Amino acid sequence: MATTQSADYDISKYTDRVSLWSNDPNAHLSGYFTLYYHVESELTPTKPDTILGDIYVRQAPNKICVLGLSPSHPFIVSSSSLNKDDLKKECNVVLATELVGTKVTYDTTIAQIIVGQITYLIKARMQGQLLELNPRLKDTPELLWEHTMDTGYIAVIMSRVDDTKQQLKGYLTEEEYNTSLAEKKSE
Amino acid sequence: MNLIEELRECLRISGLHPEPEQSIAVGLHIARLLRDVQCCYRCCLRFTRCNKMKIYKASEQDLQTAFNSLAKLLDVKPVSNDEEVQVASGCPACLGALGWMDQPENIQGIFDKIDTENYDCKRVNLNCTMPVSSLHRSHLLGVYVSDRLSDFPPSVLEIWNSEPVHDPKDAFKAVISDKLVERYGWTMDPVTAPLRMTIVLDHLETALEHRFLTQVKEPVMKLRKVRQNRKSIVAGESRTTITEALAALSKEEAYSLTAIPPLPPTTQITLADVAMVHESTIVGGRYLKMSREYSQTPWEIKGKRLAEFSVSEAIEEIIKRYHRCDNSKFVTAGREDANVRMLGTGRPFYCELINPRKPVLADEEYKKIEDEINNQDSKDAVQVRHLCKISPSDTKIIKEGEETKCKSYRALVWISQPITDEIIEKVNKVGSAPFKIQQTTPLRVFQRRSAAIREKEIHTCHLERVDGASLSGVESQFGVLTLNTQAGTYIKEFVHGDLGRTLPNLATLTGAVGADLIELDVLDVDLVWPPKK
Repeated sequence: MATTQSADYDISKYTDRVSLWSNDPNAHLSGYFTLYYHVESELTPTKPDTILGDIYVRQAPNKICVLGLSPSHPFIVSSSSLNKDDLKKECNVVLATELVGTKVTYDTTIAQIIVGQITYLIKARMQGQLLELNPRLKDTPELLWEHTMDTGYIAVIMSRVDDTKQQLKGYLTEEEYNTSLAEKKSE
Repeated sequence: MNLIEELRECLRISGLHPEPEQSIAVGLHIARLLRDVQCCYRCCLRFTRCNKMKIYKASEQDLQTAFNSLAKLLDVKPVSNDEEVQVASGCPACLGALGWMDQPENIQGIFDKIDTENYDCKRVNLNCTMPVSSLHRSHLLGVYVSDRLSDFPPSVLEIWNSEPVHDPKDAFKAVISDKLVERYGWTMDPVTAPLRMTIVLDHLETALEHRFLTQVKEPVMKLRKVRQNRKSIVAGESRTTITEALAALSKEEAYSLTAIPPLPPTTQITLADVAMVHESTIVGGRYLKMSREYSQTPWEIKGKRLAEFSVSEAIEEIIKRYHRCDNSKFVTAGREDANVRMLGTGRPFYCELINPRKPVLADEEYKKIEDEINNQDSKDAVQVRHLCKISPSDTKIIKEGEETKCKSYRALVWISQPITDEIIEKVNKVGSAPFKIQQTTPLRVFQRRSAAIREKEIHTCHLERVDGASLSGVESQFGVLTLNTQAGTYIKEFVHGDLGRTLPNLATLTGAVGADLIELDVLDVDLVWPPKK
């Protein structure tokens, strides 16, 4: 019934674009999201034996925010030197599922990663409605350190306001973050 | 029969008196009572239960002559002492509505509207709306008459109180219908006519008179302020409420709250509106969209158009012009994004044309419209096929089809590694049989859809390399994916995985880290449309 028109795709239009993706399998996500980072201030008070760290937020054009651990997050940094099989066994991801569907604020703890005695607290770091906590982290926590920037995301939050400057106040752009990392390295 | 005889016969069978011959005298008496307070003769006819519309068409002068002649014949007091009848603009019962029709300049207003609209339709359902004050005024005049029937046996009063007076609408419609049929050759058909005409008469001077009904001890009518369309309006005085309030109104309260008989108006009745609406015509077919820059319908966010052009505008404007209508609704079996092409046999759609002045077109005209649509500036972007008239009952096929039908797609995809023979074999093995995917609500629609995991079936799925592409380097990472899926499947998310929220997805099937959708085309919407005749 369907007329079989043969594919007429002209890939030369796209070869430049995709060659930028060769080094980073997540580079294509920039077509769907804008990447921001929240750097945790050292002065933020924390409970004993808990650690806060930097997070990233990918924001879509419809203002939905996808939150995850940034490469500079202490958990990610420490995981790089640990045995991955052991880490998978010892790592316990606790998601605040009771908060899904409710409004969260800057200080709301939406998830915890417990490794031995250390608890990493993941806070919303924005105001909005918590739409989802990544259910796959429970059984496959390795997504956190193997796919930190894509399928290992932690939460999906709906922006309270449309204006990104207000919604993600204090966040760094990708460029600013990379610059600050480079500066830290050279220190 | 001449008018006098017709009138006599009407009164005789009116049932105003248990004995028919006596009904004539009762009728004349009532007519005189009403003339004393300046009612028009047509109102006299409706108060005396005259059913024959033919008599209402006689002029006021002729009716006066007939009433008086009949009175003379029966040797009773004349109905009116006037030689010449007054122009019935000041009738306290109908506010002049039933005399309004006699003035050529009034009728001309209606003719003008009809001529302007110029509907290509001769079957009309005529309605009219009388001034709201005619409701209570007719009732009050009924009370006035009921207090003056002592000359007759009690059964006459009983009969009088038991039946309501005839609605002035019927006489009005009968007279106007005649004039419309004469001038336009229309068929007046209240049951099946597709063209509905409503003549609305207003009488501003008495428009709020009925509010005396709120003053009774136990009011049925209670006014209240409500918000409608950001404005504060008064509610609680609908015609239904007025009728109910009148039914509950005691004579004593009526006399204490308002004038009985009601006074004749001092101002004229006005034509508030002549509304004409024809039933919608439905035209449908299938459209193809070969451009990645056209949205399906015009889409605006914050005053800005998302895409400059749309499929619906390319199709609707021409159809609307041929059918001469102002508004239309564009309904499709499913949607595609602006950057997705609709190929193959096209997507089923229909256009509901609201209030078409030319509701019916010949089959050849639809071919003409199709050609015009397919040859305008947008021809390389939008094409239509099989354009034809659709019967309203068939439109449900489109909505049903959205749920149940399956769709065929073809996409240009990229994966994060070269597409090897092994990858192709792996994907095509899975795709040779139906498999299920779980799709969490895509992030791109998460702001307007509820969170859910929807299971969808991919019926078949096939991956190929791009014709002529190199087997290494970036070119080898492109592929052509053909899919046949259950309706409602999110294709883009199946390809790029939506951060792992659609599983399995193309990346997981190929074993690559990431995948992305570069271009998407809809190849087929499997729905029989237009319906077979």
